[in-house]
Parts: sequence; structure tokens; C-alpha cells
Amino acid sequence: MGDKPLTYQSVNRDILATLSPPGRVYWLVIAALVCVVGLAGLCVLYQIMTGMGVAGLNNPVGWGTYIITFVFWVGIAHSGTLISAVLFLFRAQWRTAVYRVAEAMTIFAVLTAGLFPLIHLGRIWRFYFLLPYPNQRQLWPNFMSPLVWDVFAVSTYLTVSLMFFYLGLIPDLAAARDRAAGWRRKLYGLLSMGWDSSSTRWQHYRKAYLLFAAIATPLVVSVHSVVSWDFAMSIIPGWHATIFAPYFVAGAIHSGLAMVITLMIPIRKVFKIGHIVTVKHLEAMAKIIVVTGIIVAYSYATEYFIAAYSGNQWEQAIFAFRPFGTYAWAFWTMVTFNTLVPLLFLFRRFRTSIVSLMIITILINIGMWFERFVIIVTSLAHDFLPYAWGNYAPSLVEFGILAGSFAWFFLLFLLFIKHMPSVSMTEVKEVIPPPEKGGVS
Amino acid sequence: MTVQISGCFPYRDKVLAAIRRAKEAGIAVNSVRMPVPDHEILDAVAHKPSRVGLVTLVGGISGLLVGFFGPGIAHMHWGLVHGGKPVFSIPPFVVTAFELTILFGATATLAGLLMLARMVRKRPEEPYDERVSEDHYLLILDAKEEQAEQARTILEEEGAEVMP
Repeated sequence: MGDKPLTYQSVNRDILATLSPPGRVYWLVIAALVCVVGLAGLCVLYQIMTGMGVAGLNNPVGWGTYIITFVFWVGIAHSGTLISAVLFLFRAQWRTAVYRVAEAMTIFAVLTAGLFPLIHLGRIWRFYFLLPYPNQRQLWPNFMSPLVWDVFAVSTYLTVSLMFFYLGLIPDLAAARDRAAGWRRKLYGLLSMGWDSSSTRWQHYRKAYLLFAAIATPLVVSVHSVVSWDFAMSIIPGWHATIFAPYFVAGAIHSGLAMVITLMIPIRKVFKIGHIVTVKHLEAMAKIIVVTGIIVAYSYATEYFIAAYSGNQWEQAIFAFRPFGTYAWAFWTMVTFNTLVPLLFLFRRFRTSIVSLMIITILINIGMWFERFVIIVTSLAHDFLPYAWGNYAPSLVEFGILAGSFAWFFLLFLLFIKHMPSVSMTEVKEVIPPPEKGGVS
Repeated sequence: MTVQISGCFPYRDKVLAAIRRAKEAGIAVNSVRMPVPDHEILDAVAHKPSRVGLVTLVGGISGLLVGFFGPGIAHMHWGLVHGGKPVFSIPPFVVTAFELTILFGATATLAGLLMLARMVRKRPEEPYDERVSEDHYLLILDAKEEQAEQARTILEEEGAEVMP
């Protein structure tokens, strides 16, 4: 798994070392992120006090940066469950070193995504109207609406991901408890619920973990499918397509894997755990990115084929507008970064170079944000009737909130990696040789 | 009357040997505390299979029913008519049923694990040695009074640090 042979002891020592008290740089970065989040909070407050007019949203483009960013973050969340659940079922051993980071990323990305429908709502405090409960107003949400399905899907995803994440953490929290002192020992003790590593508990634990993986796997497919139906269930040209669900799922995994690599590179460098999270792990993810990139390219091509083959003039018009219209720059950014740039990973040189891994994965995520921009904005800006056409440009308030979402995500992530084991000690130990004296007596 | 005797092993193969010898001598193995879920040790100890799956199944079925009939009942009871579609329309309720099957199934799995493994406690159950969360193995034997000495001998001969 690396240059240094790993032992059970060295795994515990090296991973628990990441929990040592942070230095000044860490707190400076935290402070900078808090400032950006605070700025975004002020933007939200300004929008609430002034009205939705401060956002660039208007007729005909009523969905803009907020919904784009919502879909983007839900997409980022996807690879966490893919790596932790799907690859667990496939017994892909390389996942052990990276799955904890991917799972944490999932939770923080969903927590970030969940803010955007609320911000988009304008009157945030009206959100509870979407929740189904008997009430004296005799009002129920419309269960036939994809927006209500979204509430079910995203909240289920958050809850299940959180439980799965916590379940995986329990043995590691116990290990952290056994090596910690003071308030940390109390905290880890409380969180590990007195885990004692006994064979009876492992027996139940393994079964529950396997069941969780099996349950979470269809969730990977369902959540972004449901998000895609927010669009596909309408009759807007460019949205009303049956390919949307698989296309969104592939795109989500594409961007999520890219984000895991982007996050993993600085972590392994700063915490000096390059011998546990090796280049081979990053390379394995880069290989999957090639596959998802090709699926995404195929989906783009299928959309064009169906538009041409269907003979539907509105569909054809929107698909001509995307590459040659007002937002052509966004379309070509999307195509280049999502389908062409990932092909560089076909060459081993690009898959194994940390610099190229970092640059390519960042470009993919820029491309994936633009994919959602192209889907949402172009279709609304250019629908059936030419007199109803109009353009959209995000306002400063929207840019502020977008920047705040990234700061919020990285803030949660930084707090996590300094307070919880960011690599699963238990699972890494499972794939290395156990301590043996040699030969059963 | 049984006596609990436990020994802490630095090596996995030694704990496996001790389990085999204890079983051959008719001494019951209570449990083994170990850093990772080791298949061979779990097979050697041979605990009863976990029934967490049953709890998951009950949770999943409950979620399926609530997710399908919950929205259905709301639509029928309050006459929620949308876009001229049937009031009790199956396809949209399949989505909510799917999501709640997963939600209830997962919640039941976690609840089942906590319940069946009796996991919620303030501190680890005794006997416990903090080295087991790193690289040691703690074998706990339930020996009859007359077997106690033999159990202790097995542990010592296999290189365990016998716990007082």
C-alpha cells in the first residue's frame, strides 16, 4: 500500500496524529472561511430584507445560481456513498483509505445543498409548508410534485449518509478515546458509546454495515434521479427527457470523485499520510473519472441525437441555442472540462502526477457547475415563444452566496479533519497483514 | 459456577490457537475483543448469527407502506386533485415509497444494531484492555471452576498476559 510497510500500530499512530492540536495557520484559514460565510449570510439577510429582486432572477429565468448550486452540491455528495457503499459491496480494497473523507464530503455537501432551496424560496421561514404533517390549516404538500419528492430524497440521503458515516466511525472513535486524555477522551468516549471491540459486537456490526451498504446503494441512484426529475417532469425544451436521470447520476459521480481527489491531495500532504493514502488510491479514482466522463459525453451526444431525431422544433432550437447562442461560452466550458479534459487521465502520467490530478479535478468541478448552468439557464431563457425570451446574469448577491457555500463546505470539512479520524483505521487495518508470531502452535 | 478468565495476546495466530485449544478442552469462549472484525476468529468463536437483518426488513416494509399509503391517504382524505390526474395516482407515490423504504430500513438497522449488540453504554464492558483498539486481542473464557487452572495454562502457554 505504500513505501513504508504499514502495521496496526503505525496506522493508529499516524492517523491519530492528525487529531493533534492545530497550529496558527489552521485557525487563520478557519477565520478567513468564517468571514466569507458571514459575508454570504449578510447577502442572504439583504435579500430577505430587500426582496428577491436583488438576485438576477426574473422572467423568464426564474431559476438561477441558487438552483444551479443546489444541484451542484447534491452532485458532489454522490461519490461519498458510491465509494463507501457501492465499492464496499464490490470489495474494492482501495476504498478503505479514502472512503471516510468521501463520506464526510457527502454530508457536508448535502448540508450545503440543503441551504439553497431555502435561499431560493426567499421567505425561508415558509419552508415548513413542504413538510407533510396534519395541521389545522388543512394543507398538504402536493405529493405528485417532484419538488416534494426532492424533500423526501434529499432528507433521506442526508439522514442515511449521516448514520452510515457514524456507524463507520464508532470503532475509530473508540481507538481515539483509548489514546486521548481530558475533554477529548470524554467526547470520544461518549460518541463511541462504550465500544469494546468484542466479537459479539463485531458480528452485529459487520452485518449492519453490509445492510447499510446494500440499502445506501439504490439511494445513490435514486437521489440524483429525483433531482433530475425537478427538470424532466416539466415540458420545458431541453429538460423534458427520459435520459435525465442516468445522465444526472453519472454527472454527479463524475463531479463527486473529482472533489474527493481535490480534497484528498492537500490532506495527505499536510498530515503526512501519503503512505496510507497513496498515489495508487488517487489513480484508482482517476480511472473511474475516465469512465464517468465518457458516460457524460455519451449523454450529451444522446441529447443532441434525440433532439435531431425527434423532429421536435423547440427541442432542436434549444440544442442549437446552447452551442451557438448567448451562453455558448458556458456550453463549451462544460463540454471541454467534463468530457475532453478527463480523457487526459487515460495517460498514466496525468493520473499519477499530483499537480495534474489537482488541476484536472478542479477543472471538472468548474465544468460540472457550468453543466447545471447550461441546463437550467439556457432552457428557461429560450423556451417556446420568441417574445418570451430573455437572458440571465447572476447578481453580486448571488455571487456572494455562491462563494459563501464553498467557504461553508470547506469550513465544515476543516473542522472535521482536525477533530475526527479522517481515514478509517479499522478498514485500513483490515487490508494489511495482522500481527502474527508465525505458525499456529 | 463459572469463572471468567481472560488473556491479552499480541498475536492473532496465538489467539486462534488458544481458542482452538480451549474448545477442545470443553472450555466456553465468551468473546474475543479485537482491533478489526477478523473472519477466522469470528468463525472459530462461532457466535449465533446476527438478526439485525430481520429488524431492517421490518423497518423497510414499514417505510414502504407509510411511503405509499401515507401520501395516498392524504390525497384521498383531503381531495388533493392536481392537473386532472387520478386522486390516488400510483407512480408519484412509488417515489415516496422508495425513499421511505430506505429511510425506515436504515434507521431500523441502526436501532437494531444498538439494541441487539447492547451498544449504548458509558464505558467499555469489563474486562477491557485499551490495546485492543490498536493491535492486541483479548480472549475471554468462561471456565467451570474445575477447568479454571487449565484455562489459565492455555492462555499462558499461548503467550497471553493473563488478566487478574
